[in-house]
Amino acid sequence: MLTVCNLEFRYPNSPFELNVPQLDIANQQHTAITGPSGCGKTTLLNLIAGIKPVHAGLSGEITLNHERLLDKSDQQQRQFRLDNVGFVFQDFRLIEYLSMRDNILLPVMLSSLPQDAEIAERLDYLIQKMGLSELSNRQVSQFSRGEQQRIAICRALLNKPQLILADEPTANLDADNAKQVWDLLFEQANEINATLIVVTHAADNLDRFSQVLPFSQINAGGQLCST
Amino acid sequence: MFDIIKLATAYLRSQWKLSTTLVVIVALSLALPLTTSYVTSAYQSELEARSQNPSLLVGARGDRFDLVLRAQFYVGELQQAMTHGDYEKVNLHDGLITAPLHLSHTASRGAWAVIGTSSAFLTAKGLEIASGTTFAEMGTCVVGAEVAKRLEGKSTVRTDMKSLFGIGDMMPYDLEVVGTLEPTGTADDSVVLISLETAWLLDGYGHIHEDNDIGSAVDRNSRLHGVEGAHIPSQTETKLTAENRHRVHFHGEQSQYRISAVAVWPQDDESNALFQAAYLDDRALQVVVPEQEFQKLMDYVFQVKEILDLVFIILMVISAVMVVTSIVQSIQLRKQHLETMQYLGCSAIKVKLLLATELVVLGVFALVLSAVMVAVMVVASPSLMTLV
Repeated sequence: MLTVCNLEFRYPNSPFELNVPQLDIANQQHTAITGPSGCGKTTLLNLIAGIKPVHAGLSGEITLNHERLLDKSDQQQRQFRLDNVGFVFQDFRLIEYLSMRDNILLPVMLSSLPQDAEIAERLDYLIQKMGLSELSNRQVSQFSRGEQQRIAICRALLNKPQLILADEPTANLDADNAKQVWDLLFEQANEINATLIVVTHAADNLDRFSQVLPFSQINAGGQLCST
Repeated sequence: MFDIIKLATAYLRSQWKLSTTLVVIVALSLALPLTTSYVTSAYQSELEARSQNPSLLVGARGDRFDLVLRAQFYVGELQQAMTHGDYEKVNLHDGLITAPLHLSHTASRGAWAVIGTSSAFLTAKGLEIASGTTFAEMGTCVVGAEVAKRLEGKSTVRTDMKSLFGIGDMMPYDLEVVGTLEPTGTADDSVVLISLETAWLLDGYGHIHEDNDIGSAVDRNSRLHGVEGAHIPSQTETKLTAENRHRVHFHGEQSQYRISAVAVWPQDDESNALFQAAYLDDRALQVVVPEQEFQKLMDYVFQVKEILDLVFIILMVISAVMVVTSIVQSIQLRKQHLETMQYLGCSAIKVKLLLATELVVLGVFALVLSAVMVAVMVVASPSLMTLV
């Protein structure tokens, strides 16, 4: 269970203010948080992932399966993120000079996690799922945008995280590519029994989520809306 | 760590133009001053090695520097010569070991200096004969190690032609090799040592010919010009053997025969001082201390080096600014990448380690390239011998 309680956040020198009195998301639930661009959805997602700007004002509580995330040190939050959270960015955030394989492996390469047989097997499985086995050593800059986002999703899923956070994962994709990305995301979230939270401003594909939360209702103590 | 190196090299490969430029700039900044320093030190060592052996030189008044360089490195004939009579006067001084130096001739088209001297030269200079004997007999020679190597077993050295088309009294001779010097790694390796008498034979003061071959009169450029009875035979025998050596004859007064310089090794400080004092006011001859002349040369070299050092410091500062600017720019351009790495769970320290690794990889390549550049430039740099 992910619980956000009395979360208050503001950027320094900015009128923007995030105020989430209560947000509960059950394990393995697929949640969409909707709202117009710039309303603070990404900020909320970043805070859940433990990514917070320096010098920002932050108070409240975020817990994932009874672990209080905001009480953790930076180092502990990084490790928690590495072990439990898979993050899919709107702009993919792939390292273009690395191969597809190395991009997916990046969280492992950057951590002290061993690159054991299990990781290698998982990597091969994910690449095969994308149907790009033949091209695993190709640089990511040579892939289409849809393929790049699927590679980014594989990177987020490599460690079988219990929480997948996706920030507008299909915002920059055409309908066909967007469908492939959604298919992969839902299929993999189901396969590893992960909780999926997606922020999106798009109205399509919302019926695939178990709950859709308009951001306006989350922020400043609004009512939660379940579907 | 392997993954960090892999990530670092992947980035450097992707930016190969920038990486190569930085490596070359850093390598050049290191290689140029290192090479200059190395070459200067090598010149200094080479000069110092020969500056005290012999410790004094006597020659005709003129360019002191020229006298020292030509006598110590065998790089050609001196413009001002002295006579054998002068040498005999030098020999009258007590407490000296002396050896005449005749520097006029060459062999192998100027590559090897043919030096006329005495056996005292070998002893005093510490030149040891590796095989064979010394040049006791006229027409024989002792060759340096490099010359012996180049001769490839040939038993004679042919001296170079001094006069146009071989006409005149200075004929090329075939000198019989009777000994080889131990290698020294100095100019002594490329010499052909002969006796003073052999050198005079090459000068044309003496020759072998049939008794009835009176040939023609010497021309005005001949060293025997004005000597009574001197002549140029029609057929000069230019190889001395046991059969013809006794027929060698010289014209003119030996005391007037030309030599280039005299190498002097004073036995003690007093002899040294007295000898130098004796020639202070001599109008025809001068005594030169090679060490002092070499020091003057090195002073010039160091002055040039100081200017070069300044240029290199400016170059290094420019390089450092370029490298720092490139790194700062690179980090700014990769800000999102580095941020992503941290979002994915990488610590700030590891990101810094990654950047440091990139610098280390560049540094290693720059050092290797620098070492190659130094090696190539040192090999390609002119030797002191070619400069003088």
